[in-house]
Amino acid sequence: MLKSSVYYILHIMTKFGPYIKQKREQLGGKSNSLRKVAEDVNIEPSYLSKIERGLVAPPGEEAITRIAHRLNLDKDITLAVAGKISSDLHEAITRRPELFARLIRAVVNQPEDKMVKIVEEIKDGEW
Amino acid sequence: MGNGDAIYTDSYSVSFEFDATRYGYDSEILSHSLDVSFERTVRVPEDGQDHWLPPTFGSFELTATDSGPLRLPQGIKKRRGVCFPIYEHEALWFDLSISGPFRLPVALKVAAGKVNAVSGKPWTEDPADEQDYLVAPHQPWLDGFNSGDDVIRQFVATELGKSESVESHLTGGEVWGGIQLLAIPMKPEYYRSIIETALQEAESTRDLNQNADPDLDISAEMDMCCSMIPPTSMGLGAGGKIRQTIEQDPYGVDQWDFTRAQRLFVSMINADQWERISGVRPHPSPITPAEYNGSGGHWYHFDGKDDIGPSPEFDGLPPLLGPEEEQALHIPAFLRRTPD
Repeated sequence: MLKSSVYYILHIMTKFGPYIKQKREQLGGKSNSLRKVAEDVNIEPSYLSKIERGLVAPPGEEAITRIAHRLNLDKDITLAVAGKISSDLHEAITRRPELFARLIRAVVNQPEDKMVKIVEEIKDGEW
Repeated sequence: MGNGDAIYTDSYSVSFEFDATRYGYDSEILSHSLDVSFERTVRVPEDGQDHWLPPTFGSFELTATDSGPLRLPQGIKKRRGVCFPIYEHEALWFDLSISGPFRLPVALKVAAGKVNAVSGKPWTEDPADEQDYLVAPHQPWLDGFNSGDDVIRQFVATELGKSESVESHLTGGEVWGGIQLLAIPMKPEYYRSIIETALQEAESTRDLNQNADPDLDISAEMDMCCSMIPPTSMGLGAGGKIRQTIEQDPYGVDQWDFTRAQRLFVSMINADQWERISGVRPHPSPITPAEYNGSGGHWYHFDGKDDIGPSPEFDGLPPLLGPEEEQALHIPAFLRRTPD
């Protein structure tokens, strides 16, 4: 179990870092240099450099959220690449564990167009 | 809703969810729901005899009526809720189940065209003098209108405007159509009593079990306001007779919290027009009992404990079908239930 956990963290490190680096470089320009982005998201440039090179594990949810916002990335996707799930989604799932377990198992092999309508809140109207 | 109660759909059922923080418990553990799905089935003959319960061919697929791509009449969209396609004279039944660790009961009023399917009275969201609701999980299914002792008349879809629906026969008009649901939770003190009893039973069971796991966590077990009828709307008529008990409420009407009830309008759309409205093909046409029997299909029966008795409102409803249609529904005599 411990061995597989280590492999998982290594996998995430090598996936998340290059993902961030690629997205930052796609934006290009001095305003998106490693130093400038690190400064904007309030982390040390050397730390961001290590993250991008896959030398350290991804940072916490707050820092990832700031990086995603700074690089115009989807927060949930960026967190997923880092092997994390946003706290609001986590709360929603743990609040209704049976429902979400049922839903996720029901749609896990469905095509995407079916998945977007997996669950929705229904409102009452005039009648 | 601010109190955490809400209605969800996963496209095949609707879940009336109730937030357990109202009873003083952690909602993460005790949130519970009544789940209702609408099942495709075969229509039984209107030959005056009782029949066994028909099977399911799968759940009708539900869509929120305010879903963007749907081109529905404004009158239906204003009601919100969900909708599904159904063919004229196709039958359906309701599957009721409870989710949550203690199977906490929930009451459900069911109406068609705003006529209560249990009492035959006009729709009301208040308590009535006589039981006009079902109690899940005690009542697992509902196949039709409460027309006799341990007998119902099957729900069969009818096109509004043809005066075939129960709404038309009992109110003289066909204004609403569709299905109306009102899910009613228990008052907090009664849910607390059920939960505490179950916890104590679980605790004593654990004490008795010498091999019990010391780390066992018990909590883990645990518009139409106008006169125009939308051309695509369907209602429900009363079809053939089926043997089914409408279970008496074992708790009593005073234990239900009508102030916290959640309601839902379920619109039914003529399946012949569904592709034009949604861009999606509807399910295949229903099969006849003869075709079903020919494929070796089974019929079911469920005799409950105490039937609440028939509603006189449903006395004398005319047959839904003419002789020719009835002929198409022929099923072998050996499958018919012999009256007691």
